[in-house]
Amino acid sequence: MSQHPAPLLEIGEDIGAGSAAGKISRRDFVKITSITGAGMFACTLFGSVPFAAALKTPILSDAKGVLLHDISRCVACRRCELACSEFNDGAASAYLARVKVGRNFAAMKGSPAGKAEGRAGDFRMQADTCKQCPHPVPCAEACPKGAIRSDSKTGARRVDEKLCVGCGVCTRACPWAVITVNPATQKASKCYLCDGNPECARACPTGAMKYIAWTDLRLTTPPVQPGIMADPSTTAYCAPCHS
Amino acid sequence: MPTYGGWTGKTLRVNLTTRTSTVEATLDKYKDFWGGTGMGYKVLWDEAKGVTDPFSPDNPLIFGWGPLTGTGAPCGGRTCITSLSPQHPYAAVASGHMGGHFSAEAKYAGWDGIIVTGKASGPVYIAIRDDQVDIVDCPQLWGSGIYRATAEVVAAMGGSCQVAAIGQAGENRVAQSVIMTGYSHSAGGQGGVMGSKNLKAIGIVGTGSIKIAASKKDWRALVDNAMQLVGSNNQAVVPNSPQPWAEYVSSARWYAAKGKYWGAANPPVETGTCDPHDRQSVGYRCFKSDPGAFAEQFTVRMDGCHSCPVRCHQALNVPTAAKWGVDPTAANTCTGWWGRGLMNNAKVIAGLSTQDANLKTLEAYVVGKHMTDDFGLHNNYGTTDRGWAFIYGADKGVTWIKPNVPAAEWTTLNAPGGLFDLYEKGDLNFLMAFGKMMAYQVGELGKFLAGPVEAGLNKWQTGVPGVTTGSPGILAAYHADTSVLWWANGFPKHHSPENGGFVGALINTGYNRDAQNHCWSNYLSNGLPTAVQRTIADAEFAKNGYMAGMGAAIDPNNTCTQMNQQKAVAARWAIARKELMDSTGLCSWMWPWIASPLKERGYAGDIALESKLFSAATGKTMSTKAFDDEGVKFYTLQRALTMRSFNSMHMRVLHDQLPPWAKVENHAGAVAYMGANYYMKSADWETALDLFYAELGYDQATGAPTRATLEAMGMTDVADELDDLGLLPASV
Repeated sequence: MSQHPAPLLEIGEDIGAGSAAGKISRRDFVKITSITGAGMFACTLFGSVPFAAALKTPILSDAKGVLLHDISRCVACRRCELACSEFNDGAASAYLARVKVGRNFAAMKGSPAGKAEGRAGDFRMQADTCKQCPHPVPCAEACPKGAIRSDSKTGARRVDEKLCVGCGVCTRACPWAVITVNPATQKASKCYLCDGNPECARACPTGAMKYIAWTDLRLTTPPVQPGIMADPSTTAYCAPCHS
Repeated sequence: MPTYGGWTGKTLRVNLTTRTSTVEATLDKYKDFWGGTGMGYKVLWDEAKGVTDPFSPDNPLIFGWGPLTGTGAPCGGRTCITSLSPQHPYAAVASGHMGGHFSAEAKYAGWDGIIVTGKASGPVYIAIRDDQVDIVDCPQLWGSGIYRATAEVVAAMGGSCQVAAIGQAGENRVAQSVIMTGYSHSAGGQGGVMGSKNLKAIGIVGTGSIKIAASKKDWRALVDNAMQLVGSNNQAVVPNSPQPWAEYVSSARWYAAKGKYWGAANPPVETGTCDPHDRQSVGYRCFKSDPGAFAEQFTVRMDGCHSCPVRCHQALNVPTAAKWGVDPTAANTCTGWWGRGLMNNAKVIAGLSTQDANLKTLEAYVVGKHMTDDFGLHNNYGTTDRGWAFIYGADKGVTWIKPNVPAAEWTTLNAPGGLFDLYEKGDLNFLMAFGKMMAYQVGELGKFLAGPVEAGLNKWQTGVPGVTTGSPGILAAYHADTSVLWWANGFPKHHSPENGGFVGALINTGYNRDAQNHCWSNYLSNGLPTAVQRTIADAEFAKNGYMAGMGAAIDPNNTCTQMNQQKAVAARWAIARKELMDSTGLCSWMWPWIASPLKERGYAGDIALESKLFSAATGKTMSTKAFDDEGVKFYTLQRALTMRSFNSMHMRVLHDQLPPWAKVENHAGAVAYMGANYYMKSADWETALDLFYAELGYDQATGAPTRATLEAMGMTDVADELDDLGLLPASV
């Protein structure tokens, strides 16, 4: 086993309300270390000694929940977008919303109107939502600041706004393009599952948006943009397992 | 200038003649008129002086919405398009309204409204990407329908683009034409104005946000409250069939039930019982299947507008409709399906089995929808299809059409494969032939159907000298016929005496087209027993500063009782609310909510809800009464505009009259006010006007706003100009 150039996991509590530094939990750490050689190495080398600096967290345990959108029930009212942006950001915005419906109206995913999904197609409306990806988490891997961590309550991949510099790399790394940078705050706007009570699901007038126990939904919806751009330091960290 | 939420603060002005765009500060220039129709009236008042031709480059076209547009205030997807109207005999001011997502996208792009002036030298569309505004030449789109124009603009601007476009009807300045967004949401009457400016479409992509002034917690609580009080389509609060939770059953537009499915969803979706406390079933309540129960199995889902949980558009997939050369998918609602009404259904289904007849009838809905929505035709709330039925009649046009078209045209219409032949055979190709004739104003019949109703009737009354003989009597016959929905002043009724007696009639009188006002008719049709409606009205209005006993304003549908003070108050309130909906961005097809579906509230809604939402979103705190007074102000400016177009202050005589069919004297043997009809006595109409004018602060003799009233509303400039024009009543 090759040696990592630097310790990359910060040991401590999960990020979340009241947590300043941005850490992953001991439980998560143990879970990770139990399944990865890299973790075994880190565990062996560093034991439970906490690291002082905010460091990369490219390996995150699975989230506890995820949003499931039912294409047959969606009526394209976009109350999910509104609830997400208004109740999280204090402003109504389809752009800031962490769930995206409006952009799928016009059946522009490569097929002529009338043949594809969408309001202008066969009427079936797809909402793009965060899959709360399992490892490797594209947005977290791409973030040069290690600002996307696991939320202590839900395990959602959550932006630590204290670390986020608004560079937008995560917005391009997300295969479903469901992250945006808020121009007003210069922070990434990303689904964090609203601490386990997602506003979008609560606002949905047909129950098309549901909050369910986490399952891997990555194959249920084709990515809208390809590619994962891992940060170079993350790539180096991953090399022992993926070289 | 205080900083408000709700508004973006910027209004876009595009001069197509100079191909320039400028930015106006919304709250500097339009702070007293908010947005939507209010802003539209203000622009027209300031800039359309002396304009009498609605197709003149000097007729501004205002795309308006309001501070609640694009927010989570439910049912806020309206766009109001205001201009001098080609449909009106005097080209008086009117607005067309469309739902969809266009106005929300415009708000996200940073705009409180779009004012289009001038005329482009050739076909163009306006491409708006946030602050970037481009005027794009599009000769390749001129001559195409709305569908292709929309798709091409989306292709150029991206999948999140919202488009408003015209079809061939608008290009050809057809009075009965629309501006459409989202392939099914249409604003009637203004399509020709857009066409006269060589403006094919507007595409918008917005990536901004709308600030909510209230705290996130307070706004969430208010939106939650609204979502608890919302009903079904037209704010129906009683289901159409017995439900386990329901105390009442009615004919109101709440159709969901166990066993009723969106049958073409994959998998089929059951609408279910929809307990009003279940927030996750609000979107199933409506399931309004305009083509009938047979269409339920072809329903993919219900559709509608931005932010609205009540979905009133039915999205169908009827595969066999493709054999008529149209897309089998189609969505619309109510009169949006009007194309099918052009055909006589007995002829359509003649000789067919029940199954085949049902299917062909449904195909007619789909074909008719595509015909009207692609050409961009407007039915003018029943005028086109019912007017067609009137002139074609039982004698196949011999009485009203033959004397008014050249002999060669008459021969063509009657030839094998001609329009009349297709109609008689029940051939759905009739619909496309009819639409083409209307959109391109082919022949005298096409011109008659495409043009302003009164102009066509007047022309046919006397005929074209040396060409046609005319039909003396057509004016009187048309005006007296209830089936054509004709209202005095040449526009159709839209919820008039049949919905509220005097209140409905007063509301319908207020405008220069069908009133598009559902504030009162919705309440009467919400499904609650009349006694309950009266109890709620008593309490809700008194609670908000109105006179006691407002329940006395209520007449059940299709009845009329004697005029009283409460009815004048109700009419003023409904007109104010209509303007407020149109100027804040809410939907008059849903708001206001006097009632709710909640039994524990005695089915009371909350008529203060709109002012609460407005205050919270903008930070401009306003009581319900003050809010309503603003609506009366907007309406009064519309009144002043109307007087300027009429060049007369005598609205009482020239504008506010009943059609003959509403008067009991014209119905032999009918007795007024006994519950058997909605007719009224002519003398009592004059009493109704007296009371109504008093409520509005208008002059009794003329029906015009007085100087004192205008000045109290902050419109001294309007009073001065009316005075200069000799249109202001003498001070008493």
